[in-house]
Amino acid sequence: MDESAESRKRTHDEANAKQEKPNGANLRPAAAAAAAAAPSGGKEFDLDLLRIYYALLFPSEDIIKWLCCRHDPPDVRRVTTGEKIDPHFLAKREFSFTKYTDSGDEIYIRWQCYRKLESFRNALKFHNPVKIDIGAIYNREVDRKDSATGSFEPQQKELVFDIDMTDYDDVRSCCREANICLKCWNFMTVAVKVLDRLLRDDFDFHNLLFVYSGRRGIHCWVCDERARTMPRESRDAVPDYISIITGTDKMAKRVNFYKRDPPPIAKVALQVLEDDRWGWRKLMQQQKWFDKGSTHIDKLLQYLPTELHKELQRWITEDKKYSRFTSVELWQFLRDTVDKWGKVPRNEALKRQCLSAMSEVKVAYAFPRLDINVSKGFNHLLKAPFCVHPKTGRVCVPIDPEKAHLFDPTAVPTLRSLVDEVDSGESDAKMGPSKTSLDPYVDFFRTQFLSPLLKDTLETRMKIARKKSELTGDLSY
Amino acid sequence: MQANRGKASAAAAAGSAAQPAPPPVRKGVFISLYREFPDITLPVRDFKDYAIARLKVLKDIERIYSLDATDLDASDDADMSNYGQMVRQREDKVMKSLYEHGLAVEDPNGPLSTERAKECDEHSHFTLRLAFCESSEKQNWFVSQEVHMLKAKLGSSSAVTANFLLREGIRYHSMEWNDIPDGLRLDIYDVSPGKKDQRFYQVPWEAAASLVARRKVVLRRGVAFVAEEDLKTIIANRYRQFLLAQLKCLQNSRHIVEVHNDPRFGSFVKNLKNIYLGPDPSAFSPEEQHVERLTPHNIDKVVPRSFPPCMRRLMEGLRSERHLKHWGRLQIWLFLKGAGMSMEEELSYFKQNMTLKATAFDKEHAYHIKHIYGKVGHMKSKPPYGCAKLMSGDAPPNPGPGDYHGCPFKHFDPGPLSQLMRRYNVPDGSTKKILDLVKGHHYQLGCVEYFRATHPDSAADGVGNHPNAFYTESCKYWGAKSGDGKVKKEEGGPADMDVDQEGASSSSAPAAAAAAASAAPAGGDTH
Repeated sequence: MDESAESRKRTHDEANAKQEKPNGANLRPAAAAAAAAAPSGGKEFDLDLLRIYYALLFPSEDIIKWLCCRHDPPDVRRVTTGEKIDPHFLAKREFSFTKYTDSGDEIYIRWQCYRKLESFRNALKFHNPVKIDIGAIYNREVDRKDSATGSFEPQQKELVFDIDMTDYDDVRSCCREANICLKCWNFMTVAVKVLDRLLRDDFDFHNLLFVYSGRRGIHCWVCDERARTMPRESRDAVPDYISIITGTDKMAKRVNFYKRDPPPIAKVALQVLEDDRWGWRKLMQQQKWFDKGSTHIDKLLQYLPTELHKELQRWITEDKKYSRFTSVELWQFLRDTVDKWGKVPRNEALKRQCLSAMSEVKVAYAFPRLDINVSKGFNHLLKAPFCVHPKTGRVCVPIDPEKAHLFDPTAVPTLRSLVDEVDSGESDAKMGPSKTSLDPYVDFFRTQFLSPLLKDTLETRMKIARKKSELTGDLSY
Repeated sequence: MQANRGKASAAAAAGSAAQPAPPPVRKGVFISLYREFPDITLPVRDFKDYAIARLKVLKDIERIYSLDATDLDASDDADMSNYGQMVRQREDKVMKSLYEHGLAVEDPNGPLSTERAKECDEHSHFTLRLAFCESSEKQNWFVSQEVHMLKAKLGSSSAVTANFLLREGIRYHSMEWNDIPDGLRLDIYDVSPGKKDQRFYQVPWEAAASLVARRKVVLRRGVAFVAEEDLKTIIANRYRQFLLAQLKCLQNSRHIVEVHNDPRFGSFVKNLKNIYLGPDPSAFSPEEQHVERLTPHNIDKVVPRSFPPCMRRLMEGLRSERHLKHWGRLQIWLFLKGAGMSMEEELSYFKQNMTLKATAFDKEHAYHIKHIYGKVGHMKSKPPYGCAKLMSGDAPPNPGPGDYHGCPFKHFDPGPLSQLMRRYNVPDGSTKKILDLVKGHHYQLGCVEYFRATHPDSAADGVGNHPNAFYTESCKYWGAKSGDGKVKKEEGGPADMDVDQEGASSSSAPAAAAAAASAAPAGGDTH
């Protein structure tokens, strides 16, 4: 049965591939472009290397186990726990591939699905995709999408977040657009730490996977059973809750606490920013927002209450001692001034106002900037971990949020370096990925993420089953 | 969505039993989540009358809330009292409509009996479920009006709401203000200073999703602390989810075909849904309104003259950057389509006016344009965005830096907005009026004021709900000025409510039909 399903699917793929092809004359030779974009010397990205990567290094089994949520296909070894398994679960999950054709065109094939780990592996071999995207879990097998009556609708999906460095362009002094350096990567460190705390402490999610997107951003996968099965309303509420930075550049302030104490969500961020290893002080030193002559000083002034605004302006223009000043000095001046005012009891309200404004600035500049459309709804597909970014050749490796500040995107293993390691190491291909610098990342995925996730999923299911039997008829959540 | 997840529920069942529960109810108003179908027989005549009565109320609700579809965002403003007042006013209007159409009884001594109103309310709800389950668009329309109705019925008394929760078997653990631990209480106070001294309920955050989305509740380990006065929102969320799930079940049910084929009321039910939408966006089409259609040749002349500010800004963005971001493209493409540009014209216009290489354009955008014209993919022409959608913040999302989409009246601060108005030659007096309206969250009225300022002596008919309505109205205005005779009188009022085409026949069949409605398996419920 699986044979025929597989062959049926294959024709389905091809039909799809044809359909998705934009009209023939105007194709971009994407493969060539990607190759040209790679740094000189050994190409970091190459389709032949990619083939080797999928065959020897890509952790297919772990990925499939992760995406099956304990409903493992028959060829994945599992520990029996007596729970009810949906044998079609994997086939209900949408995969999609971006691949280069033989003529070098880039095409996108959607609506792929697999019944076994083996068929997933075969598909990787067959398509050699430059990108694998993961979509939702539907109410029936994806290859029966159009073949049965009744609506075909997504039922479950991990809650995902996408943070892209380009959204920080207005507060980034070091790089622009697709470029990143260790300085601006610090924004991502803060983003990971804040997001991690909010998702855990506020929403009670525990199975979080942070992944480097391979170029200039990060992804976060929230994989708790509860997150996966949330209805749309709740799902959309999470990114809305977290995106405290609103408005356009037509707004003077992109964060507003209305002169009051920062809301709890901002307090979390402010706490994260206290740490000098990555926090506010470091960001100011790196980005030099409020160094003398910077345009950001005007933006800062717009946040401050009149009294502090005047005081700061006086300091900038009159005080000769500070003919040159750094952001840290300016910020220290603000803090000292507010402290001084705060010593007089009748200034209590003013002090609070000033502190509120200063918190607004911190949040406006350093709070994670989410692309919320990726998180909302069920429709958005997201690149799988351990893909290779074709422009940089870097592998999309998981990031440990605890050690996010030690993560260096430029030091991530690349396709070329990994294949070189394979070549220079054991010649026995069957050894698999056990001897490369990808190892620690796969190990992290397996032991720190996947195995707790599977355990937690089981516990959640047992809890629900128990409650159900105890309280049949109770309508409350 | 599975039940029994909350930590609070089990504990609360015991706790709440101890509380005395005097049942404050609203006399003459039937408040229900419609979980069970009423088992009665009634004449076909009543069956139809009831349905039409409810549909009229729903249409009223749509109108009451459409003048300013932004009630959610408004609460971010410091001006809370005004906002509360606005909510109450609207709910009063909804109640008035309910009284007027016999779905509730205002005066217990009046001619209408409470029983009859209840019967009408209950029955009509299930009949309209049959009529509106067909597509998700119709489902959404129906559900949002129904949710407004439920909220209006619950009114402003939190006692009514708390009691209703109890009656529906929804129990949450709760605490008095003074029993809340200090740190938590401080956070709650920071989030909602106006809500202290109330009882706070511990609700699984998913149930409080809409409050969470606006950061109006404090979250601790997945539990939202909800003030008594916000319980109404919780009920509304549940009702929305429940009703949507029921409609989805019904949509996929075989019984719906039987209902539509019933000789007594099948076509009645089928026709009901067709009269809900009010003016179809295609009604603003230049063809329909007999005004000159938009083409690449006249567009430069027409943009400053007849484009609403939202679209004019997009065109300026396109000019200056020779590119627009995703939502901006979608907004302007759909609008231009609605204004009569053909697909070929739109394709070539954007190909010329975007910096992209022609090949890249074909690859990245051509498909999309063809898609909205319904020539590829789903093969359905996509209607242009209305004002409510542009302001909703949910697909299209609120604009960020570098975005040109959205509604300037809603998404601009007063400073940039008045600059924009000055640039568009709006007299200062009108700009002041606009800013006042916008301050009161009447963004669409702000746009109407803009229209009046730029179209002197115009009645601004139909302006303020749809950019394409603005456009055609403006074209009509300038057409009449130049006297080119192309303008004809606008025709057709609101859709005719009387859809009763079949003769009334006998008794109990409608009950059977509605029974089919309730036959939707309870799977969607939160049992």
